[in-house]
Amino acid sequence: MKAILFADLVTLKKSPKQYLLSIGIMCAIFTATALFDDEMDAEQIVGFFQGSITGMSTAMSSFFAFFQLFGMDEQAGWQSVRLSLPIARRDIVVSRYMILAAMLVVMLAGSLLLATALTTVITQVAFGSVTTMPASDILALAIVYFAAFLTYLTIELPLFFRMGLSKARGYFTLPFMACMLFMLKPVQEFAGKVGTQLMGVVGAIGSPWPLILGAAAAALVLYALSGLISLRLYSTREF
Amino acid sequence: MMQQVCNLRVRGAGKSYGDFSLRDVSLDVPAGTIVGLIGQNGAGKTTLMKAILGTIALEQGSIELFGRAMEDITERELPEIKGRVGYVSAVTAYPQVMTVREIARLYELAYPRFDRSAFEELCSTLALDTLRKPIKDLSRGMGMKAQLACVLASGADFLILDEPTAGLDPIVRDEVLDVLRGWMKDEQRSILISSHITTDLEHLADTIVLIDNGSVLLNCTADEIGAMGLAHLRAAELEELLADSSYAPGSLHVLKHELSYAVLIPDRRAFARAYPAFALDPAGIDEVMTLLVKGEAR
Repeated sequence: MKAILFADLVTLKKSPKQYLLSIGIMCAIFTATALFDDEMDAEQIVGFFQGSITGMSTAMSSFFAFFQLFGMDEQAGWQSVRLSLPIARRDIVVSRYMILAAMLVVMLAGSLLLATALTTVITQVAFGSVTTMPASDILALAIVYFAAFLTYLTIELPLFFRMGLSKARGYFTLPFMACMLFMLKPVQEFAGKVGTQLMGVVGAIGSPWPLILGAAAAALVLYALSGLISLRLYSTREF
Repeated sequence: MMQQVCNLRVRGAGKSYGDFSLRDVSLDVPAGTIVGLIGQNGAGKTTLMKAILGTIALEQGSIELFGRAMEDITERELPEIKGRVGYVSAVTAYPQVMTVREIARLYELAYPRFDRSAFEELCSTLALDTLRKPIKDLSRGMGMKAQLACVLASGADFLILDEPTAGLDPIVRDEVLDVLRGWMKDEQRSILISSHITTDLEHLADTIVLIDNGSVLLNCTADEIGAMGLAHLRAAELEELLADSSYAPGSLHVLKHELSYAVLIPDRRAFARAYPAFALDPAGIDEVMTLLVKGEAR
């Protein structure tokens, strides 16, 4: 497994320029929006930056890593030659799940730091004093994002292991399309009811943390199950 | 009688893909030998190699590596058994952003018996001075040298080479063949090599296996091929030869040309003694392949 982890890490290390540039452009647009919008107060800016920049930066960098790794598999027939090495198919699947989850944590931490740094600078420039999000809120946000992105990988990874990048990329937008179901009124009503019930549960417990941690745990369990499905699908894939 | 030690044994291999199928392919690659795999494009050579490497599964038959059936190899045994197999593909199929040095490190992590000093020595022998270059920037020749340096230093005893000399200039081709000859000095080692450059195989292979349309048409030693001849006969001479009872029906392969017939003769010397007036040349691998694939068995 070390050999595969090494190949994946070297590949990721080699090409950060493009996504750093993308994140830089995104940050510049967000900063300009915040500085030139007179109606936003410090707290709104903090919420806007922590929520949007963290989410978008994590999404961009995670998707970039995802495509970079699966793209590498198909370059010049590496996915076939890789199996000629003394490496089990199981190791290929397990290492890819490990590296993507680890990348998600790293990217999320980096994005949170970036968002916090930007809010510190912008609130100082715009309002003359620093306003930041409470640490507990940042942690809750990080865990919710982690669970959401992990769920996304949970859905996508088995498809990519079975079909490879060329064929599976058509399904990459599948979870987004599922989100579009929320545009339907019955789905909105159902989601509203679930939301109300969840708020009721939070109110009854007195804290959102059990729900947040429960969601993260559920996402981890689903991710592990997804890994088992990928192992099964990849074990019979032919190249 | 003691059974010959085989690094690779294939028995009755079968696999179907749409309109192509590999049928009942059997071959052995004993220790100390080089087996040349020849055939037209799409004949089934790559399919067979993929089955040996485990990237596709056979529908019929079996493959043994170092005496172990592939389907019985457990994940725990995999590093030991597949660690004795090295593969060189026609293209340099490594992650394109990685440098040669990083690929060597990857091999070091994957192969338990990888020898770093042997790798450095091979780089020096092959004049591979592009260790810091990414794979995508290597020339065809440098890419092949990089593959060979990594694979030969891996500690493998059995190499599978898919068109290793295709597209190389004659100087690099000779260097590659020299390195392979040198590697074969250890009698426990063996090579299965596919190539369209049959002159390479004439200099290298101990056994030639011809695959056509998914089946083995010929499996014989280089000496047996060396004994074959190519007779150029007129129609009357061909009739006389076909009437000769020393040639069983179907044992002669005949290809009609515009003014004559080319006939593949299994034993050139015996034929020359029997028919001293007939035009006869030694048959190379190319001629044998052409006559067996395109000729008519008579």
